[in-house]
Order: sequence, then structure tokens, then C-alpha cells
Amino acid sequence: MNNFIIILISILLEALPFILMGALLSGLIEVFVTDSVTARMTSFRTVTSVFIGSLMGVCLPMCECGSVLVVRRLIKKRVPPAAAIAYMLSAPIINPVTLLSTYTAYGWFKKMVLLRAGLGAVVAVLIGLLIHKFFREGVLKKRGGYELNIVRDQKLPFRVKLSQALTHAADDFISIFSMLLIGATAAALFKAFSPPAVFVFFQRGGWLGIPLFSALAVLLSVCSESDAFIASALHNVFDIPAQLAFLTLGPMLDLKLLVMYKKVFTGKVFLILCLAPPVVIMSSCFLLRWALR
Amino acid sequence: MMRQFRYRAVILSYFFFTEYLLFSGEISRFIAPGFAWLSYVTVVLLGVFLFFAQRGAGEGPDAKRHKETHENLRTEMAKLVLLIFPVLLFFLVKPVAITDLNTLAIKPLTKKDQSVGTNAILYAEEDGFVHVNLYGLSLIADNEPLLLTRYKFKTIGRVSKLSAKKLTLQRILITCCAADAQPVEINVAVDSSGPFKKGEWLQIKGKAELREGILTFMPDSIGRIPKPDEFYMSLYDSIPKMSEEGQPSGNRP
Repeated sequence: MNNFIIILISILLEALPFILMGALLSGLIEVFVTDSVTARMTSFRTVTSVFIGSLMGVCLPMCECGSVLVVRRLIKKRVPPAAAIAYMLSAPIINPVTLLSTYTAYGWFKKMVLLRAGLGAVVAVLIGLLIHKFFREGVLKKRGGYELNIVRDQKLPFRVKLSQALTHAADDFISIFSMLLIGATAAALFKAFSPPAVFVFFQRGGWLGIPLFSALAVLLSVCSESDAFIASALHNVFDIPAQLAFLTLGPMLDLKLLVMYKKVFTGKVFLILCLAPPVVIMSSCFLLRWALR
Repeated sequence: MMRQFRYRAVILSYFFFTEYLLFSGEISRFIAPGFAWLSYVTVVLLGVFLFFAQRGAGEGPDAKRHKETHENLRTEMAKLVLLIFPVLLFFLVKPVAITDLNTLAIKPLTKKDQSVGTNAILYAEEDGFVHVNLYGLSLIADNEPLLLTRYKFKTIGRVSKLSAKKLTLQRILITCCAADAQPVEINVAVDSSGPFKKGEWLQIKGKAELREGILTFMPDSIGRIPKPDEFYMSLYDSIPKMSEEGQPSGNRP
């Protein structure tokens, strides 16, 4: 019970600043980003906008928890869903903080930074294109119950508009926080109460290493800023392709994100977000393993 | 109305909870020292939401609100309790730092770290022992095993396992927070593990060596110590201290 509480609260404390920043950005986008700006995004060809979306994480860095909020707001502002989802999947991986921590953890194999960023961007683009093929619109669930509906008026003073942005931000924060809590509780339960045999089972190398380490990435729900150290420390159990799968899948899909995706996206989009990243990432890592032999 | 109360109550709870952890120093049970500044960001942003959000909403000439559905007090209070249950658990249970972790244990040998180089001269204290934590010792063993033969070390750990001629000391290594905690272990060769109990904190002084790839400590002395204030090892503070020119280098031949 002690470990469960410590792990749960530490996940929350670690995720809270990023969720709050994501909520703040979401609120600012809602009030200050005008339709003319978002119209420019829709004027690009889909493939171009998906590429731009997947690379936006470099200049608009965001942790995986905060990016869901930002993307929901972007899609509501009529940014193409494919581009927005590509950003959501790649931002936690290609942001400077994550790349720096990967570089630090993999001092013995610096190419891991390029591999991680490259595979993350490629997977984000592929899934963005997949979303575009099947869903041009209607990717978001309608928010049930009370809906904050502040009508934007460009003539309002800056102070009032800022207050409206903060109101939206607080609303978004609360709506997603409950999902974070559920995911964090599940991750803490797994880590604190699983018997040792479970972890011994997961520590298998060979060809099983890739799917097992990928599953562990989902279950452990570690932040993308620190997962590189965990993967690097287990180099004597899991080979490079398995470590790459862990580093790429974790920021795209973990217990916290599963709950958030379920809350935000429709059923079919949720299924794609749950199935496509592991399939694409594991296939790529198996190919890499075969190539390295 | 009840919904707004619930929103404010949640933000207020986490605002004061994070402040309490920061100013009481108890944040160190959850977050590595280098990452505690993120909690200040949390406090600032929650404060901003608390004091500046929900004002000005509806001031625009065409602002509207949807009609609120019927609010049940019991339902709202239940939702509030669920949203702040981690805070309630903390004050009810008063957890201590993580102990006895079963997760992925770092094997004593880790990959090379450039901070401990081939010709490192380690800094030994006045008693002749190099003070290093368990993870730092494993870094030395992996980077330059010869250093193990040149120096004597002192380190601390918590007894996690006992067998006839061996006990295992464990410490928890964290990178940014307790959620990524991993145990680091070392075997200590003893004549008899009888005098020791699981959960005790020990300081060991002596030599370390690699036996069949496993880092094992041969202690000159073992002493019981109180639980340390810094319960976790932080990844960034584990690099062994190097000797500067003119500093004593202890028992280096």
C-alpha cells in the first residue's frame, strides 16, 4: 500500500505541470488563435500538413499528457485531424527535453537518439495518414453534460480575453485530470502489487524481447523524459530493437493515455490509436533486428 | 453551482497539497531533487487557475451558458472524493519512501558511463575509504574494474535478502520521480547473516570485487545506521567523486 501511494502521487506530481501547461496552451489557442490562422493549415495538402504536424513537436514541445488536451482544442479549431494526431503522437518523442535525456542515457550508443526520433516521426506520419484515409472529421467525442461556451468577441479587452482563456484552460484541465487519475492508479497498481514473477517473465531477451518490452512500456507508464534511463539500464536483458520499441511506444500509448484517448476520441479512432502504434513499431523493430543480424 | 464548487475544490486541494509537500520537504519522497522545480510550476499554474479563471466568463455581449442539469449533492461529493483520493490517502496513511521494490532490478553491471574514465583517481576520505553509493559502485565496476582492486569503499544500503553466508543490500535509484524507481542491489559476503534483519540500514566498509560477473562486497566492517534522510539515489548524483590535484587519495598505492 505504501509503494502504491508513493508511485501514484509521484506520477501525478510529475504529470501535473505538463497537463496544466497543455491546458493553458489549449485555452490560449481557443481564445487567441483566429480562424484565419487555422484556415492556413487546412490550405496545405494533407500529406504536407501531416508532415508539418509530426515535426511541430520540436518547436511546440509537450509531454504526452498535455498533448491530448492541445490536440483536442486544435481539432475543434478545424486543424486537420490527421495533422493534429500526428503532432500528438510525435511531440512527446521529438521534443528537445526527451531527446536530451535520451542522449544522456545512451552515452554508449548515441545513435539511439536518431533512431528514436526517426521512428517516432515516421510512425506519427503513418498513423496520421491512416486517420486521414478513414476519418476526415468526426474524430472527437462530444463532451457530455455541461459545456463551457464562451463566445469569442475580438473587441473584448485583452484582460477579459485572458480570463476567458484561463477559464477554458481550467475546464479542460479538470476534464482530463480524472482520466489521468484513472491511468495513474492503474500504473501504480501494476508496479506496486505485481508479484516478482511477473517482472521475471517480462525480462526475456531474444525475439520475445520486442513484444514484451513494448508491453512493459504500456504498463509502466513512465514519462518520456525518463524512460530512456530505464531502457538503457536494461541493455543486458533487451537488445537495441527491443529498447527502441520501448522508447517509441511508451510516449504514444500507455495506461494514462489509453484512458485519455477513450475520453477524447470516438470509438474507431480510439481503436486505431491503440492498435496501429504497437503494430507499426514492433514491425519496424523486428525488421531492424533482422537487418542487424 | 455544485459543479463549479467541485472544480474549485479539486484545484484548491492539489494547490495546497503541492505547496505542503514543497515547503515541508516531503516532496523528496516523490520527486528527485533536480525535478522539484516542476512542482513550483504546478503551484503557480493552479494558483492562476484558482484566482483568475471563472472571472470574466460571460462578460461578452453574446455570452451564453448551457442550462445546468439537475445537480445531486451526494453525486457531486462522491466525484469530489474520487478526484482528490490521492491527497486523502496521503494524509490518512502517511506513506514513507519506497521500499522492497520487486520491479526490474538493474543488474550490478551497467553500460559504460563516460564520467568514470579509465584513469580516474577516486577521492578517498580521511578514513581511507571512497564514499560512494551502490549505483556509483556499479558504475566503477563496469567502467574500470581495476579501480576495485586499488581502493577500499564505504557505502550504505538496506537489507533486502538474507541467506546463510550472504546478505543483499538494496537501494532505490530514481531518475525524475518515484514512479521510475528501480532497485540496485549488491551482495555482501558475511560469515553469518544471523545478526542482521531484513529492513535494517547498514554501512559497509571494505573491498568490492566481481565474482562471476556479480558485484560482491567483502566488508572489513559492518555497522548499523539510522535510516538516511536521502532515501533514494538520484541518477545524477551517483557519479563517484574524483580526486583533484593535491587532495588526499587515501589508500591508493
